[in-house]
Amino acid sequence: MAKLLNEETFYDLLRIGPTASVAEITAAYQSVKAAFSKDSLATYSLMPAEDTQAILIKIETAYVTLTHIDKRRVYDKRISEPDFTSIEEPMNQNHQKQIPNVSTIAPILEAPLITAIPSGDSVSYNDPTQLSLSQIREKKGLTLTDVSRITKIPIRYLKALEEYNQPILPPKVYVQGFLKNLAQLYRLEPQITVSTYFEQLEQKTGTSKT
Amino acid sequence: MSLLKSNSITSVPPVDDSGAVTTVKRGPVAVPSTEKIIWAIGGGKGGIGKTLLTSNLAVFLSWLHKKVIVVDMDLGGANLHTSLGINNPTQTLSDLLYNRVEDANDLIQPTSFKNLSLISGAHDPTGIANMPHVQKTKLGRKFRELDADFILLDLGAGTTHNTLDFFLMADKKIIVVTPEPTSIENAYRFIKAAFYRMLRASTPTPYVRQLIEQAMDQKNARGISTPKDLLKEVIRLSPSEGELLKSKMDSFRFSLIVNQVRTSAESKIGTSVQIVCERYFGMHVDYVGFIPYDNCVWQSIRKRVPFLIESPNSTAVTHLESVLRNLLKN
Repeated sequence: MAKLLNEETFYDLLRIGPTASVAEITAAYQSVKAAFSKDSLATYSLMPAEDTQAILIKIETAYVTLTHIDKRRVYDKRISEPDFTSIEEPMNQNHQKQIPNVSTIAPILEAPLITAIPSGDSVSYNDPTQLSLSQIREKKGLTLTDVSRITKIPIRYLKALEEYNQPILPPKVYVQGFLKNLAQLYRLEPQITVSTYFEQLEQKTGTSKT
Repeated sequence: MSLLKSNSITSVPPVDDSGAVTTVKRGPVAVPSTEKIIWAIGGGKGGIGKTLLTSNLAVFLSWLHKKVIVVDMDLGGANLHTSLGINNPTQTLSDLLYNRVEDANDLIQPTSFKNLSLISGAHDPTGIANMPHVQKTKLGRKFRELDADFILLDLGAGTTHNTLDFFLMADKKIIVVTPEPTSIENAYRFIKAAFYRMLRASTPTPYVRQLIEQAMDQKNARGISTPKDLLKEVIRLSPSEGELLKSKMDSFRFSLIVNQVRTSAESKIGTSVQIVCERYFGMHVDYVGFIPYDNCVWQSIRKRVPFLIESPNSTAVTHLESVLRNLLKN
């Protein structure tokens, strides 16, 4: 409650100080993520899955932002401004009745960050048909290593996904899982992302793995 | 050696190498030196080791040259005396409550440990477990009159008003959980009940009380399901009442012990519960450590000897020591 009247920052969320090192951020990220993860005993009977999912998304955003040197600089500048409002706010207003899911949270979470990072982020993510996975990732300012670290998808699979290198890719069901993870990270609609990817894959290779 | 002061959350007593509290920095509001430190050990669920931890912590404190009295507050299901190897207590709390005994010090029974004595819980099957408020206040006052440095209250399972009130009365509120969904669930129910009961008792304003009561009922019409929702609603109605409520919420804190830990994954649950509680309730949680599951513990129960005595070299004892150090720290 200490932060209820002040806005909660990513630092508050990860329970770290404003000067935390990347190692400290990573350690904090892991323990906070473990606390709210799907299998966590600690949220049992206390918090509904929708709430923990919303927190998890915020934790990922916080981690990506704070471990990226440029993004962190921009973010630090933004929270030092007097009219800073937490990205949590718009969510809470309709929190009581409406149960948000990932796809409805995503645009709300994304909005302030887009304005904060002036790096051509204004592409329409809702229609990823024109973009390849690697283009989306680059727009997000993430490296393959970043993505692998956050999603726990091995780099060789990420590479294969982006290069549509079917022989390397695991069976389809795993690819679907990877894509859903990536969609969550990139704030894309998971189903569309999966179907679009397989369409693209078919175009590139002429076959679809079954 | 001065006593640790209650109610002054801000003062952190320095601890020397032997783990004994050496000096205490007094806050601006000096607490009378007759005040004792009361620790309450609760956790909602039965069978998670509250009684066993209480007796072992008490023995450990007595080794640190502290005068310790353990009080069996498991009214109706008292068995703390057994874990300390005492057979049949002659006088119990009910003698005090029914005025058969005037001075609480007369109830004190020596144990085989120097500096450690026991007040046994009531054995009367009925009535006592739901004592009226005036008797609780009386009992609380009597505890403070006891001749001891530390008074450890071993609370029973469940969330009866009795248990909650003695928990809230304590200077240090200790919650024990085991890494099981049933224990976690009951612990949260217990924390919620205690938290809202404390908030409700702290405000005289009728509509704030009403809102708190609604928050206690999870299916309320206003959609208040978390303490944050409650605070927002109160702030919306009256910012000054909201400030008051927030300061009450901020002042609530408890210490957490995870018992019967079997795997390294389970040992991380304490930190996770701490993080989740801080976020959900906005309260401060001192995670003071975990006790690994150890065969020597149940063997010691059979022998009716604290495991601290029975297996002093066990990992359970090593962890108990670090838990106690952390409890004395903050």
